[in-house]
Amino acid sequence: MSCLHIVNRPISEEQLETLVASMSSNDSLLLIEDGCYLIKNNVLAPKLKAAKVLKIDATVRGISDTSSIDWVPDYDAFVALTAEFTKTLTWTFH
Amino acid sequence: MNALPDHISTDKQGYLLDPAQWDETLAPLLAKGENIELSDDHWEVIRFVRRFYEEYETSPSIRPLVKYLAKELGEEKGNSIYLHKLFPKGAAKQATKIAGLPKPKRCL
Amino acid sequence: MNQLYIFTKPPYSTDSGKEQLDMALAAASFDQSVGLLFVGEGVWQLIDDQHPKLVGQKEYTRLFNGLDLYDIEHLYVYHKSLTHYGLLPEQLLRKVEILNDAEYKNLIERSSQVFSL
Repeated sequence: MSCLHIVNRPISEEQLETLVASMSSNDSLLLIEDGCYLIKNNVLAPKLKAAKVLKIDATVRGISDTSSIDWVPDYDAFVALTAEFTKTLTWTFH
Repeated sequence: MNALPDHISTDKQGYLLDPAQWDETLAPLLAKGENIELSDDHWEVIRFVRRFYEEYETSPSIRPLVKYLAKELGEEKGNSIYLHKLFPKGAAKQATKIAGLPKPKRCL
Repeated sequence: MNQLYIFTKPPYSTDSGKEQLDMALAAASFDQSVGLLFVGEGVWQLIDDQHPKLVGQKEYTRLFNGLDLYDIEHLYVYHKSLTHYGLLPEQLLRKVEILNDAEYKNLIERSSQVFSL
């Protein structure tokens, strides 16, 4: 069963590793809300190359100059994306 | 209602506000409010309910209580029919009240 | 395996552990098959010898010891979360299943619903 993993807050390196270790090959990771800041985190960004990012949330936060990101444009696209997975998991480390 | 000593306060439904205030002299008074005269069988259940609380920091609802009694006393006493006979208005509700515990949160 | 509840936070600064435990107990009472997974700081939920009464809080984590009475039989810990804090299984308040990387991934994969409060 595929899972869309969602992160909505900045998390630590250990927490990111815990999350990534839980992902199967059919799973995806989506950064939303304050989770978008993670792609600007120099330490963690290299581990997030496969992550999708909700563009509207990033734009709200002034995160835009980032190329080669797998953007999910808006909330409609977000909803459509969740429908592609059998389940979703919002990780709340805080 | 039954006359509890003055320093003992209960909520509207008659459950002690502070389980630490309970001792065995209070049980017959609390039982009277439930129209129950305590037999040895009642006492056995009440002491186990109390022990459950001390072990797990929570008031047992009926399912875990039945399982707990079955584990400790065997199937003969760890079943809901036996408990219903002793506490006709709900074993978890009445036994926890008489044992001075909070009302079980999960009545499931 | 049906539902999996993932504990990611330590016990006392927020109510999320207690509330998630309540959720799991309610689900189990409706005959859902329920498992609990502890990762990251969530492993501190299971540490033995806690004393929350010192600051006037209830030791709700004791109920982790009585979960078989609520038909919850599976408690899992991700092995790296233990080693991250230098913890050993014998420092936990009960026996749990320690998952290696493959088992951990597989558990999430085969659970039909996953929660993390």
